[in-house]
Amino acid sequence: MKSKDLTPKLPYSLPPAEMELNIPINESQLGARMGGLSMYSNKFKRGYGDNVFGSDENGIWLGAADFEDAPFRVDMAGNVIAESATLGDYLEKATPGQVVSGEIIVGGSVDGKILIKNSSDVTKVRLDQDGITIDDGLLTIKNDLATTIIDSGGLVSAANFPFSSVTGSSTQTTTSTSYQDITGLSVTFTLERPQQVFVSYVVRGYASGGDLSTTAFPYALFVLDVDGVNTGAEGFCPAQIRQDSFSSPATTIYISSEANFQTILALGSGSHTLKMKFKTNNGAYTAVCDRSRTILTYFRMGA
Amino acid sequence: MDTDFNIEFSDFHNGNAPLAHLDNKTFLGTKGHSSEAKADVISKPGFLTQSPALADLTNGNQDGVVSELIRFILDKPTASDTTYAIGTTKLFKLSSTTVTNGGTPSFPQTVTDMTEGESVVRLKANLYGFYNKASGGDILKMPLSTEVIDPDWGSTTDLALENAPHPSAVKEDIMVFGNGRYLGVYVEGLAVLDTQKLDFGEGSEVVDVVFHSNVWWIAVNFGEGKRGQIYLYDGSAISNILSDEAGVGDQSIGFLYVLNGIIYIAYDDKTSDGYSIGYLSGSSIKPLRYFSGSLPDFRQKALYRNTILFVSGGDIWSCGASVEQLPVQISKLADGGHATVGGIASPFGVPIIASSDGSSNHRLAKFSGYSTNSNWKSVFIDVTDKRYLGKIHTVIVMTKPLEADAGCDITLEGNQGDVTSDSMIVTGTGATRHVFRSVNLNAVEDIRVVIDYASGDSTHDCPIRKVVLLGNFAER
Repeated sequence: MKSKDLTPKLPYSLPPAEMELNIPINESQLGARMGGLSMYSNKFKRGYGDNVFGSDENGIWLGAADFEDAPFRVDMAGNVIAESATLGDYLEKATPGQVVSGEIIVGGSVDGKILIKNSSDVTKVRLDQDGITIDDGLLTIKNDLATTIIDSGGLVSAANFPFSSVTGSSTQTTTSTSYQDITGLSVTFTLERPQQVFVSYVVRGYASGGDLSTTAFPYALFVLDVDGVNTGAEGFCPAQIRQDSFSSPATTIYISSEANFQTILALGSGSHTLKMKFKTNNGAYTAVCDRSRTILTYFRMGA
Repeated sequence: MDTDFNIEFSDFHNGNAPLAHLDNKTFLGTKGHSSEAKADVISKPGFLTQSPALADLTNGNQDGVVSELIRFILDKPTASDTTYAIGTTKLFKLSSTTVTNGGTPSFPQTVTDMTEGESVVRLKANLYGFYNKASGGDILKMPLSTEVIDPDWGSTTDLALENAPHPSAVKEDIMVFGNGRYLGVYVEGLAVLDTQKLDFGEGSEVVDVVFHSNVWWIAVNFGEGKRGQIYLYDGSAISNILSDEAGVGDQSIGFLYVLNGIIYIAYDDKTSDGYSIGYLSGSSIKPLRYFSGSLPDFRQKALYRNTILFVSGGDIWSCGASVEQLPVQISKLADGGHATVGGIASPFGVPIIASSDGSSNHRLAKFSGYSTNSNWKSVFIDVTDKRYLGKIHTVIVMTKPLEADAGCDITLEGNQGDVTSDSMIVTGTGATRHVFRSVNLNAVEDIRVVIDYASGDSTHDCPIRKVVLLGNFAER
């Protein structure tokens, strides 16, 4: 008589662990890694260490483990950050407004040039190895203080040659044979950079008094003081001496004479003071300076 | 018609029946499945035997130095036969046999302000411990060479921790840890600590972190633990961007575990009574087996006999296959000791389990010998045939050759547990085949085998290879 087998069974066979734990073919992976290549739904990277090409929700990058540290990266708005770039044929951007920070090098292995054209495709500005060429335009340099313009006719500047002059009033005398400051005939200015300064003075003076029969001919001497240093030739103002035969007894009339001086000074940056000085050639005589007819003038050759 | 029938029970390595977590009197299963059990089906595949017993380590209870629940055991030795564990207020040092008492510094060491140790991890030449305080948390640092603890290294280096679970993991010189809603990172090579490197948002909590296949896998629960998500994070832990993610669904995650290149996940289903062990397959979570009890956390997982050891309901469970040619099984392996189980680990190969009764009794014990508090019950088998009921007249038990005192009791339950036979005692030095021809059980509708090791031995186990029931149909 057969025995009925009531041994419990499942309606399916139990797979061994090695089969049950296999990932089915074609099933989507939660990330895949193959050597230095890793792919996830939110990130893709190829390479090791900092020698990585990657892409994630920040954008794409090259040259670092992560986007933030990469020397080349492009964010999702299309902004490019690159340590350097070599451009061949460069296509213009469709919309205006580009920002470039750092250095742009054009040329190197070939002669470089940059052409700026107008809307009629006419080159208006050219930068090349020979310099800058502006076709029927202006070169304008300006700041809050001034504007300098160079056009095909030359230099136009409202501030390129700053100048000033000073004069005085009444007369000043001295019997000193050492140079004395002429009161009021002083000017101070400050240069932002080394510059050449044209200085001119016109002086009026003479010397009088003394015994003409026993003393050398009287005259006043003038000199330009630049930052405390007597500079240039001295101005010689002898007295014009007349006898006033219409007075009794006859008197001696001294009439001033004029001297002038011009020079170009090469001055460094900083503050500078120009002064006029004068003296008499002999203490027996009194040197006289007509300050109302003495003028000290300068202009700076450049801003 | 056939008047005789036979039922065979073997292949016990199949573990629990598919529906055992829902019905401990299930009919669905194979000859090797159990409807209810606490036994060892993995140590000797093909044989059913007693659960391993627990033996306290030297100094491993309240009479020694274990005066509190040990919450986490480092699962890797830091030196030959040395590892560390953290309790509620102290850091412990242990070997495979002993919990260190004394030394310089004197162990266990009290950690200032610690109220709840969370995890310890070794990173290069230092041990780092994560813990909670009355308010917030912190990270301790202890050079392994000096064993002098700096209790607030974390808060003096960066922001203090949240008061939350703190799972942790290490890869080379990078340490990653959970910090409430944040993931923290420490890169030792850069000496940079960021306790809030990633923010998963309000209402979230990082419950586990593991490292696998060059990425960090982060388990996060949301919505007061009602929803789980797994995130992938770049292995360098430098970026602020996550690489990928997979949703577990309306289920909270207990832990992640990497075994043989596969990520396993323990998670629960708040709509049912059970919990699941599954694995990550592509972008989906494949449930493997189910269990009842409670959801284990990151502190309660270990490796044993190529299977995942975990804690549920105060017991120690096993899930996996001893060898890949056998099916995946889940089974209750052993008792956890006292009612509340803390951390488990296998730093020296043999599982070590911490437990507490919630009062003054605490223990740190390892598997040793055999437990007599062990049993196994088969699925129920329908033994009716039309009008006929089944009557068992012979029971045959096949075992390994038994040592002295080894044995077990066999009973048969019928009618879904309504009636029970007398015990049949399996014993006898050297015996391998045990035949019982006198079975005191009337004809029943259904039947299952119950194996109880209460009368067994703690030194010599009773491995069972097969149980065969022979019966005949009787008209009723």
